[in-house]
Amino acid sequence: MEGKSNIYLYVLKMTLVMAAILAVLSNSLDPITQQNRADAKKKAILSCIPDDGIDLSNTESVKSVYDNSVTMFAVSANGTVYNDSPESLEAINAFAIDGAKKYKTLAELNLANEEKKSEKNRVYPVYKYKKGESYTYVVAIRGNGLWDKIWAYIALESDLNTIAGVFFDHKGETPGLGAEIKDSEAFKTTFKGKKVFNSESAVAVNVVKKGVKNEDYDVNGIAGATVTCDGVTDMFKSGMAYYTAYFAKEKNS
Amino acid sequence: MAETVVAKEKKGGLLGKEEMKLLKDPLHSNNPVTIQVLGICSALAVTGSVYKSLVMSIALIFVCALSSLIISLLRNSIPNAIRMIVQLLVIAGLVQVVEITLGAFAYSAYEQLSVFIGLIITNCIVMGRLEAFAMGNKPWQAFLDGVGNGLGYGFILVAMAIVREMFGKGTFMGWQIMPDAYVLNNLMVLPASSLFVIGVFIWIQRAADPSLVDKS
Repeated sequence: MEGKSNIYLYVLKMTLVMAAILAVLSNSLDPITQQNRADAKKKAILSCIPDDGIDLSNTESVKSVYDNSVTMFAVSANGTVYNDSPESLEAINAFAIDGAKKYKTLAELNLANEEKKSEKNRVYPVYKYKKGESYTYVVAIRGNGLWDKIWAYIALESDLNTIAGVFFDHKGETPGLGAEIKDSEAFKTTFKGKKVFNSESAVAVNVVKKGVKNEDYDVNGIAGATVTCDGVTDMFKSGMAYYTAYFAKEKNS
Repeated sequence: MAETVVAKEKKGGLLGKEEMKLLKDPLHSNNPVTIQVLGICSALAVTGSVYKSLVMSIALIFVCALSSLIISLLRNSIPNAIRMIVQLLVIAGLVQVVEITLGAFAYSAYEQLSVFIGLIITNCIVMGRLEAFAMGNKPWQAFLDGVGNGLGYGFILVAMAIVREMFGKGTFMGWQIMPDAYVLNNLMVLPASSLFVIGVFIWIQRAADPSLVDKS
C-alpha cells in the first residue's frame, strides 16, 4: 500500500540520519571519554590508600601521584607475576578467546574482561603504592550485588592481611540502600584495620547483619541492603582467593 | 510602510508577548512539576544534591527545547501512524547526545547521574510538550515552550535540592553551611522526602496564588 511504503521509507531515513550523527559524535569523543575513565580508575585506586598527603581534588594531582608512586603488575592464581612488558602482555592476551578482549597496555587490565576467560587463564591486577620505605598493596575484586555486578579496590598493609582502605562500586544497586557501599564514607571506614585472612589462611572478612561478634573480621552491614552486603562478603571470599598464591610468595621474599 | 509595521506587531516578532508567555508560564502558573505534575520520578531521584539537580536540569532543557524544535520542524511530514515512535526516536537520540557529551566533558557528573540521564527519555515532560504543543505549533514557539518548561522543571528541582541538601547533608554544592552542632536529618537524604518537599512547594504556590487552586 502507498501509505505503508511511505512509512517504512520515513523511518529508514530518520534512523539513518540519527545513527550517522550519533556514530560520528560517539567516535570523535571516545578518546576523551576513555581518558576520563582511566583517570577515574586511578582516583578510585588512590582513594583506598590512607595517606592524607594525597590530593585527589584534581586530575593533574591524581595523575602525578599515580605515575610517581604506583607500580602496576598482574598475577595469576598460581602466583605467576606479569610485569608491564610486551612479553607479559602477549602472554596475557594469548588467553583472550571466547569474546574476551585483548589489552593494548597492561593498565587496561580489568576484571570485567577477565571474567570472560576460564578461571585458570585469568590474571588479576596489583597496584603497589610506595611511600618512603613502606608499601601498600591495592588489589581488585569483583562479585554480584542484588541487581547486577559490584566490584572493589582493597588496599592492604605490607602484612598483606590488614585492610588499609576500600573503594566499592556497582552497576545498578539501589540508591540509598545497596548503593551505600559506594556512597557511605562511614561504611568504608569500618573496613580499616580488619583482617582479610584468619590464622588458617582462609578469607574471614564478614559483613554481618546482627552485630559485630569478632572485631578482627566482622563489619557492620547496611540496614535494608542485606543481599548487597552478603554479595560483598562473597566477593571477598572468591576475589581474595585468587591472590593467595601471590601473597604467599610476596611474604616469603 | 504602515501596514508592514502593524503586521509585524501582530505576529509578535521573536520575543513578543505570546513568546514571553511561553517562557514565563511554565515557571509558575503552568509549572510542569507542581501544576502539571510531570517528571516527578527524576525529581525524587536527583534532588539530594544541588550539583546533580543543576546538571539534570540543563540536560532536560537541552532535550526538551531541541526535541520540540525538531518535531515542530517535522510536524507536517510525520506519518500519523508512527507519530509517537518518531517523537521517541528524536528524544532518545538527543538523550544519547547528552550522555556522550557528559562522558567526555563532565565525567564526574556523568558518574554521579549514571542511569538518570538515560531516564530523561521516559520523562513525561518531554513527550508531553511534544504532543501538547510542538506537534501543532511553529518551530520558534515550540523551541521557546521547550525552554520554558525545562526552566520551570529546573527551577523546582534546584529549589528542592537546596532544601534537601541543606537539611539532609548540611551543605550547599558540597560546601558546609550548617553549623557543626546541627544533627543531620537523615529523612531528607532519602528520595521519599522529595514527596514531602514537593507537597510543601505546591501548598506555598497555591497559597500565594489562589487562582491556581482547582475549583471542584
